[in-house]
Amino acid sequence: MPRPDLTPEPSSRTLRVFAFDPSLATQIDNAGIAEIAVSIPWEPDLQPGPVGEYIEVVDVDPASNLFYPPVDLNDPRILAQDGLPPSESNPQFHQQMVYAVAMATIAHFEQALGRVALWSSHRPNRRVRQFVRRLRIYPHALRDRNAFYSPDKKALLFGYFPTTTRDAHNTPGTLVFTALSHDIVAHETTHALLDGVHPRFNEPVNHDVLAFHEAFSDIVALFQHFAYPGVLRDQIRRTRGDLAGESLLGQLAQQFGRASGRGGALRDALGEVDEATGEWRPRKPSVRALDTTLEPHDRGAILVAAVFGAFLKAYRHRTADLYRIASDGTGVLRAGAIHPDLTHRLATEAEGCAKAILQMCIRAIDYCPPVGITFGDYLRAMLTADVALFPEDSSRFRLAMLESFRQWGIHPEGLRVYSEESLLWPTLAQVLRESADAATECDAAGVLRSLFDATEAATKAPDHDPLNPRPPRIRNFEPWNLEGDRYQTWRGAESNARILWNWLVEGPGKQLAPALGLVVDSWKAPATIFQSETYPGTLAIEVHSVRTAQRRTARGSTVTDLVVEITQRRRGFFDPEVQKRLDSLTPGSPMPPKCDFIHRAGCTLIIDAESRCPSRVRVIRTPGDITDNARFEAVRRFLCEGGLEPANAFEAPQRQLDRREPFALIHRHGDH
Amino acid sequence: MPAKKITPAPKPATPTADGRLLPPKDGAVIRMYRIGHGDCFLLAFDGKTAGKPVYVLIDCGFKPGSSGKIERTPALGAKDVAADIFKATGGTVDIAVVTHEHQDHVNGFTKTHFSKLKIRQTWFAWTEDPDNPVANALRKKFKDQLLGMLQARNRLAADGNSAEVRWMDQFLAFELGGESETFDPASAARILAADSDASGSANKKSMKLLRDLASEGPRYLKPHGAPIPLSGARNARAFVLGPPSEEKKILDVDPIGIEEFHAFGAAHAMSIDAGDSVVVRSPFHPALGLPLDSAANDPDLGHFFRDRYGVPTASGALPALPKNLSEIATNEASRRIDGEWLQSALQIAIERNNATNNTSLVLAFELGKGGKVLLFAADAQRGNWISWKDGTWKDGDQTVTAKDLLGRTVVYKVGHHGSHNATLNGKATDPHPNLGWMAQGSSAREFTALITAVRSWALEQDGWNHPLPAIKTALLEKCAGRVLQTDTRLEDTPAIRTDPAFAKRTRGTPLYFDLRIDA
Repeated sequence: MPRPDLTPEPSSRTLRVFAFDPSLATQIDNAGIAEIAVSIPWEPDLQPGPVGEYIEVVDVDPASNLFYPPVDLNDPRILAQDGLPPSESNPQFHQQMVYAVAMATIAHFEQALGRVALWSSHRPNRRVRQFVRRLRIYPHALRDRNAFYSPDKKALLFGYFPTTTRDAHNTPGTLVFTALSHDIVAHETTHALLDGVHPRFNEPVNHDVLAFHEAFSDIVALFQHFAYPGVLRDQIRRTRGDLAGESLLGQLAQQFGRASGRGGALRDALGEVDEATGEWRPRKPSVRALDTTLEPHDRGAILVAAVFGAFLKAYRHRTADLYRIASDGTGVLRAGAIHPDLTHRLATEAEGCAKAILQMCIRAIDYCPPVGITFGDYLRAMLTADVALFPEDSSRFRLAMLESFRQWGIHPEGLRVYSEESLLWPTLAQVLRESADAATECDAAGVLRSLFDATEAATKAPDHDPLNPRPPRIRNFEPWNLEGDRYQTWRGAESNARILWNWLVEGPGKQLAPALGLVVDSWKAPATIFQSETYPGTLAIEVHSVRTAQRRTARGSTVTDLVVEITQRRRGFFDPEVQKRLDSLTPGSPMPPKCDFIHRAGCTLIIDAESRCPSRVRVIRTPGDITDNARFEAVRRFLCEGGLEPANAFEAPQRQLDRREPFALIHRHGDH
Repeated sequence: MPAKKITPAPKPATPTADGRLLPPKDGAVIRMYRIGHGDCFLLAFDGKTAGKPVYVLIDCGFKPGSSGKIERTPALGAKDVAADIFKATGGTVDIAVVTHEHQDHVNGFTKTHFSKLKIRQTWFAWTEDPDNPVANALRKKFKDQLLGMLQARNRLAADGNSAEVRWMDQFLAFELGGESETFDPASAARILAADSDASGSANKKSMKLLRDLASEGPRYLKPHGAPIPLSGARNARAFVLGPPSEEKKILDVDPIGIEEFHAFGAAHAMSIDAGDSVVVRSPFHPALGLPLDSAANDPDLGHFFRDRYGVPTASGALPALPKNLSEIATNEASRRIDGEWLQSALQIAIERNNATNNTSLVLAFELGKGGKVLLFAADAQRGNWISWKDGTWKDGDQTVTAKDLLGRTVVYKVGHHGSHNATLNGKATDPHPNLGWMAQGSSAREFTALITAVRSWALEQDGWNHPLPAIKTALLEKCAGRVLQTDTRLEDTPAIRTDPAFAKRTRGTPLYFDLRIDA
């Protein structure tokens, strides 16, 4: 009989990182908070690199012609001291820091979404998809003031550069490493995670898309930061708990602003320096700000500011009682330092709020339309996702969010009433009620049930290019939760998509297509819309990965819903004449191999897998279906009329750069 | 048989005597040379002395290879342009203007073509002033960057990145100049290594020639202030709109800081030594790293780099990992980043090119106080444009604003061959200068745009979309068809048939267009 193993497996690993970046570690004011110990999930098989289940750090520095040997975090000497001590001159610490911060971000995503994180698939060509187990991180990839996520390489590339600024915090000639900035690492990891959820999400078809990507990554970086125990405690002690106060925000804002030359958006989101007095002041909400702000970072800053405003409101609401207790009911604290117990309680509340807001923001990404997100859509997504998990808004997070977004003038298009109820995405039952089309009249409940009966299984290859052209007969949806091997989960997501596609295109689901904003018949549609390869005469419908989302029932148990993204595609040409000519051809006519852009429309469905009832299915449609010419024209106008970055004469190289690395350019402009 | 009706040849728009270019009374005439994809304009303003106009020459440059793409016989080039300038002015130009130091604006200014021409004054933007410390610092930064770009280009070439190299060559050709169609990296390296200001480059030589030819010396112009009377002219004055006097705005094509420009040069300086030998310095102590070429053979760590990055061993091929074809190989080649850091060189090159364009000297010539305005925007891009409104001009006790000048504009030399961020679009009510500000009221009736572009040539250059169709459409609409473009014969200009007044004011030859502006 083998001897029993008495040592329990650890649940987490603690690693030390710089709290902001190294320049702040050398200031006496920050002595207590310059470094934090991050607790991340324990990976038993962590290899040198570190190479784990999600991340592989490969430290190659082509500009210097060098490889730096990988750190072994399981080395007992490193384990015994919570990781290598923070150091700028030790490349192995850099490896440890990017690993630790990226893993912390992944953990937040998995916790919020209730399922394992997957990276976007590698596509060597149009027909093949490959599973990418690990996101690669290159801590010293570039000699540039830049860091970005590369969707092609499935990698984060961090740059380093010599600073030329001479001020109290910088010494000219010394190097700045973007990989040592907590917020930059969290920001870039978020880009990669989002790409893993929504493959087409970053196609800029309106002013909000790029801004949203930057803002979302900044929000995650900011609140992940606040959620570390102790980070806010020191600030709360200094400002006597007033988080909205100038000194705390001013200090944080400056820290974000300085952090390795990035984070300008965060800095601007929180406040600005008054030109007249030279003093920092928190930014005041403005309902008109969005009208005149189009540059992605500036626009994104508005979204960050709105979420940050909600955080402050929620914190104030949750700490009002503590102030009353501490001030004998007067609400006015006595002068001097506040009691350490009060500091502790306030900090706990602040951390709790930060964590809750972070989770709320991440969970919302399942409730977004499949393409062309706007800030208004995101607000609706946040509220709908939160209602699903917390039917009662007991902590007032939703109310805080609603109020703050309204103060910043963020609202969905065509909204008639600004209330939580009207902002929730409609249910299938509501959509069916509102659509007057007789064709949509069907036994919706029965149709939904048929999806789960799984008697009609897949035999035909759908349009969305499965890896396997002859899929096996599939009977049930594969689970996607926090357990199980991620490769199996990835395969499961592919086969789930196949089941859904069959149900929607061949099965009873067809009857729901009009209600979901999908167009099937091609005979009336413009010829530039992609045709189905499987069924000539119908328009192609693509089902993207079918994943799961958590929801709480009225009785308090947690169930998982299915999240489905469905899109259709149309070829777009910048020249209106070309467009007109091709649109008017007979559907199915041969099309030029290249087009100027692809327009997409469709919907996201959140299907209650338990009750399968139309009133429990949320339908998140893009405005207008694929045949909607007004929407299509709006996208073309946006793309043609410099809706993108002001480019220049050299469009070819610029386009090349943008296509190669869509996030590289936008990040170069991070600080301005 | 009735006599065939003969259409009389259009009367010359400009009265000429001995081939001299003569303006109407109190007016002006613009001769737009069809030099190729580049700028060359000769302006004649009515002079105080009858028969003695004031001649202003703005730029003389072209992209090599573009002149031949204009359909005409015989083929014409910079030599013919120079000869005509000599004839049209009688050998003396009162003011030569060099808008900015780019090949397609200055490479025609060579000793061969222009040494006999007399020039009284040469006007430059303040950014060329050798006594201005900010201008000097800017030029130093630009030169550092050029070095970095050239070195990056050579490393890209060594790694076999042909498309990137071609692009880098295009950018470098702009900055260094010359009349050759091919870029020679070796001579570029010599020029840049030689001294602190790259004075051996063709561009710098052209600039120097113009400086030296000016009998009254060069003038370096800053925007705003007071209008400059053209000496000898009856009523014409020049208003300087750009380049902005703040360094920041010059770099503002894309919002990037000056520091970044410097950082790139410095970053490259870290790794690359002068000459052919490449000396690499690591950001860490050298003992902490393994050289790339031998890492795969390292007894302890070789397997990590082979399996995780895909460095081939001395013996060659790599096994694909893992065996499962639906999972990406751990040493997948497309995930490597060997040349990635050099991509930033391309980005810098683009930004650098924009920055030089933003140093463009932008001039508005006014025909008499409160009169018509001729706007020459050179290659100004966004940062330059939006700065026009940042100041005003003091005209006696009156204040003249950019909005006023643009509103009175009747001729607009379109920025940067009609590329898309060199003509800001917008409405008359917008807060920043844009096309919508131009040609208000009666000016709209004769508002004419001049586009210096050879489209067929531009499209061959990796698809430079010059002029951008959207901008050209906007201009055609705003000008009611009065748009002259280098490569388009006057007969084919839309307004020639629809606007008799315009037809009377214009005259076209294979070498140039003349456009008369009456007072």
